[in-house]
Amino acid sequence: MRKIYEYISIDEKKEVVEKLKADLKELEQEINQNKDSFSKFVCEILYSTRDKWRLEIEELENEIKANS
Amino acid sequence: MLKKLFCGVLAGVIAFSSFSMLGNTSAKAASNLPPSPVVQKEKSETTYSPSSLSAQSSIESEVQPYGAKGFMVKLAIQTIKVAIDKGGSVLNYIIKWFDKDTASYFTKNKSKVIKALNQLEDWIDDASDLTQSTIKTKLNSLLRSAGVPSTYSLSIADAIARTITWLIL
Repeated sequence: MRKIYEYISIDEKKEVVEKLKADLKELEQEINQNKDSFSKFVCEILYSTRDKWRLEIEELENEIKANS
Repeated sequence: MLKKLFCGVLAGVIAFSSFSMLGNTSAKAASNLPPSPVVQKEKSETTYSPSSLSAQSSIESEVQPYGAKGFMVKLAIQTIKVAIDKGGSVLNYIIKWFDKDTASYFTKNKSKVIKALNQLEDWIDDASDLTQSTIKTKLNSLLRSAGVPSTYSLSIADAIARTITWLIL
């Protein structure tokens, strides 16, 4: 998890989750539409970013739930 | 007479077969050539159906002017501003990149750094990319505008840009 999460409030974390979800949706659409035109290397980076964001959203949501 | 007719027919057959062979060769050659940019353009145009375009535009309208990274960079700048004022581990991380002279200047001129950081925060909305090097370059120019001498501005900008990366990584 990012170091910044140690310094921000629950409300700010909620806003981060919203923005991460929007970015994730855009990334998934980009992968689905254009995966054939990306190199294997770029695809690996996109897939690992997608997995990282999914996990980050889950962990943040758990943290928000635990603190509310 | 018959001989002339035969010669005429023969010439016609040869001419016809050579034309048809020429057509085949050019068709084969065309098939071996890579697709022209015009064909690729047509292909790329056909991949966007009206439904995919409307889905894309709906996502664009949902996304804020800056995404998750821009928001986190803003949070990191705010955290750094608090750290400069109050101290703590974030300030220690910034100062560890300075030499003795720069650390002394930084401690005595916090207000100039805070002013530059406020302007950096406003700039995030318009920034085209948010890499560490872009942030460093922008902050260096903002620090110089705030009155920080160039002997210190670059190392302060570098340390703060590194700290932003360290916070949001």
